[in-house]
Amino acid sequence: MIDNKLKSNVYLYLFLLGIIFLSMYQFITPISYLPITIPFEEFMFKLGLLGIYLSTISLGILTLLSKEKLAQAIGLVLVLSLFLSLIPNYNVSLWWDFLEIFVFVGGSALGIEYLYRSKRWLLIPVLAVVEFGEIEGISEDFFHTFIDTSFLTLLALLVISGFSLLFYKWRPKRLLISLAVGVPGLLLYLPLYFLVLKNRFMEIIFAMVFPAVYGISLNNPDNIPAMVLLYALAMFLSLAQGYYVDLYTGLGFYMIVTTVFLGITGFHLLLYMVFPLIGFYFMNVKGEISPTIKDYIVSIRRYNLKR
Amino acid sequence: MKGRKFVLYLVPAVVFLTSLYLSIFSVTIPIAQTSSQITVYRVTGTADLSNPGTASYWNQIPWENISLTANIPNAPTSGFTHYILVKSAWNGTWIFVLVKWYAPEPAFGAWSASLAGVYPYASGPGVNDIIELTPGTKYALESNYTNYVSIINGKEETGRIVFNLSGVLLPAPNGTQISVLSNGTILYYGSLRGIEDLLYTYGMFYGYYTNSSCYYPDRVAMMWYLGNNVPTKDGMNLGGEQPGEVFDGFTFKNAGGSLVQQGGAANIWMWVSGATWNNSTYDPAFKANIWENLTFLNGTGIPYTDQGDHGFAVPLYTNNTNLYEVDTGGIWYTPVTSNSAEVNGSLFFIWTGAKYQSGYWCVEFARPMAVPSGYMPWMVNITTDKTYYVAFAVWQGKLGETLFDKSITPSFLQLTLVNSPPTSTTSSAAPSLLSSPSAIVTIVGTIIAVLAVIVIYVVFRK
Repeated sequence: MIDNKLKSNVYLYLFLLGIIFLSMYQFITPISYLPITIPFEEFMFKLGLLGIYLSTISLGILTLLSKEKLAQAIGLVLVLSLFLSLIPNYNVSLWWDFLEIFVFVGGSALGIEYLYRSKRWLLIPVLAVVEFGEIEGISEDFFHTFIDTSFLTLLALLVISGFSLLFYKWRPKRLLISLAVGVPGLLLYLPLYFLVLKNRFMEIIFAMVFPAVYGISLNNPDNIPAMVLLYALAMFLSLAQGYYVDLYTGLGFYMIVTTVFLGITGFHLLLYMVFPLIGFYFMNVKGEISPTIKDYIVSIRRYNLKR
Repeated sequence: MKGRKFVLYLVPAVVFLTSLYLSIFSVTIPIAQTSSQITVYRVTGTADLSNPGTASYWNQIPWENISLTANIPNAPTSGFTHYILVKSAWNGTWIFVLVKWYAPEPAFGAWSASLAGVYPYASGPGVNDIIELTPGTKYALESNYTNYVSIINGKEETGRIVFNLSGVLLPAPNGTQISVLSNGTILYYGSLRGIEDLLYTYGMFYGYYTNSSCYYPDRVAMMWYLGNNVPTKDGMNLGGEQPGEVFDGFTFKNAGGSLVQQGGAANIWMWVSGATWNNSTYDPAFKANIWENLTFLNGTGIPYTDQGDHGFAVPLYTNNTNLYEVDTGGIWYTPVTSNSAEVNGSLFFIWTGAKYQSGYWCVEFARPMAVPSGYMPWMVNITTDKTYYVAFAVWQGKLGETLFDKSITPSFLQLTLVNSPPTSTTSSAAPSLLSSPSAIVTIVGTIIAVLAVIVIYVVFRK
């Protein structure tokens, strides 16, 4: 019999690949209209599209393979969502509204249940921010009203809460290694931080690009350095948690921080609505479905032995 | 066993290959997954162009608040309008789009420069475009260019002007006219597309120059995408007069104003306070009554007048090649056709009404939904049960915005015509949560979803 874990692993790695490409899509779209030349723009846009398809389908299958019926239902909705726009006027129909509400309520219930199971109570602020993002998006979609708030504070809350996971159990050696593992994440955005501090032109560019990528509405463009710094920390945490706690926790955290505020413009893709909810679920599955590369190799070996 | 192995390896491979295939061919189907931002409600009534926004049906339609952003981010004098409020309705044959934006300093009395260029008696604000170069830009006159003439502070001199910004050199074309203010700021007269692109690319474009007697008209434009795919880019290229133009030794890949979205085309409705606002006090074009002056219009190549002298929006068409005007005149841009029978009356086809009140501009576009077949290739034909992709742009002329210096929606928005009448009210800025059908759906949907969750739990938890 084929190891179920192995089966989901294949989709997990496809999903990881997908979200890397998806982030390209997130970055390319808001800058594409600017009159600046972006090298390989068309190519990166295509890679971004690949990211949308890969992450939607593989996350859909991944949740379909899960034991949770609710996660399966959301996964099914996600996979089918690719075909939504073939239905004329779906976006002004009542059942589309219902679908959004179902994803919101179902995903929230899933998150709350798994928080209760994992007993990671320090993640309550993360849940609060996730729910806020969902409500913000739904209010934008249905009532076209924007809930004004300090998104940077919410982001800071996410980062602080995310940090607390690293100290949940005291394992100093593992903690040190996980800090080292997180450094590449930090290196991804830290140079941008120094760039926007010193270069007013780049600050103007990033004041337009960064909020558009992550769905944050900034009251004052001078907040851009703070925002870049917080995102550098968030990327750092995603990797560090991935090592310190488990792969799914880090992945879940990454899914949340990159999409939780995208409701601000209404959800551009159903994927963006599902990401924070499933991300929170992933953060709390606590190793149940948390494979490592080693697990993967072991299960392949086991599979080959059994043949 | 074999079947399982098949599933294990084949399905992920199929997922990957399908995704790869769809992305290589830029299939953008999933990108449309969002609620339509602009709903066009069915109403009974007609346009209220003499006092836009006062018809009773408007009270039942909520404003959509649409964020705008600077079109050219590294010019500090760009992007003054942060949002535009939009609502829309249709009455079976006509569509009405009402827009409103905050404009602290309305540009009354300014000419549209293109129109002033063909009307010999035009004088006053807006007649000339003057570019202010980035502070710190210096110039030198290279007198070894003996076949070049430059005008500096009103004096004609032989030689070529070369601009220098911290060591970045940009030689200026023949006939360049500049003046230098007492604080060293260089003003560049005229705004050819090529020079816009070059100055911007070289970091020397600071913005358009304004003072109390030199400013540009206010404008608002609505873009309607004409392709059948889902567009992702609503921007327009900087560039020359036509693709591949060689301008003063520089070659431009694109024409300025051409649509960025590859393979796409769009129809634009452009309202200009200094040309299409039927206010004979504050719009110099209506003051001079030029839209009823057939002699003048014939001189531009337009064989008809604005019957009834109503306000209008200039119909434009943009594709990957260039930006065109949908008539035979070409006052603003190259005429899209020379067949006057085909586009007869097109310049005055989109009616508008406008007013400036309490710090806000309020402009209403009104147009028959169906367009005559002769206009079809260039103007949007509007029907129900179809989603349109639209975008907006706003210019604040007194603050120095004109031409490519403007605020735009960063991406296309969806606009859908529905057969239902509006039901919500807008007595306050935020609509009452219990007054709209969406609210009822939300509440009922939440209850159903909660029940569904409970049922799932009860059935599967045991």
